[in-house]
Amino acid sequence: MRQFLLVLAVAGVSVATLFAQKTDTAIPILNPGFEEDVMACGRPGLR
Amino acid sequence: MHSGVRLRPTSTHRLVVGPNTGVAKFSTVQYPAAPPAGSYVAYIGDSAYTGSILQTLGATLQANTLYTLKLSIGARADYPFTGYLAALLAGNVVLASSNAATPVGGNFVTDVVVSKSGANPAQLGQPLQILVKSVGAGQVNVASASLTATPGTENKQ
Repeated sequence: MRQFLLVLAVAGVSVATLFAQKTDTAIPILNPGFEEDVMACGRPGLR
Repeated sequence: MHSGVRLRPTSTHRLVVGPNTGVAKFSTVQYPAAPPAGSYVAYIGDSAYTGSILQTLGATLQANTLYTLKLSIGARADYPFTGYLAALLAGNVVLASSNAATPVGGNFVTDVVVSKSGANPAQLGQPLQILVKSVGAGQVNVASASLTATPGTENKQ
């Protein structure tokens, strides 16, 4: 019984640690790779 | 040259483009390492005018969050690069900015702008914005942009 409780405690700590990890969330950006011509309004700097 | 606002109806994103700014597909003339199909970039400014891009995002500023903005900043091989400023804003207020990347002609360098919101930031709930503008009589290119939020980064003092 004592052994079971010990394993349970260790498992509980592991799960808590897992959920405590910070996760990055990507925030959507319009046209992040600039493949879409959604804002063209000039010449690309031709000299 | 013109400036204006482009609004995508199905999105909460809003894009404001300054003078002499747009999207171009550049070749190995501008970037020697460009693939045969070319590289898409945003071009900002030229020798006559400074340019800018301001994008208002659908996300809002949250408390206790680390924001990391990454931009691939480029300098053309065939045109002067005279600097830039990249900034992360919320509600038109600058949270953090950088001009740290110094790409040599024909190359890109990643610039990282980091902002950590506190427990009760003044712009809490305001829409996040990304601004990139050219500085001087040259042009800056941006090949990609990404923004991540990492919650749970409260300031412990």
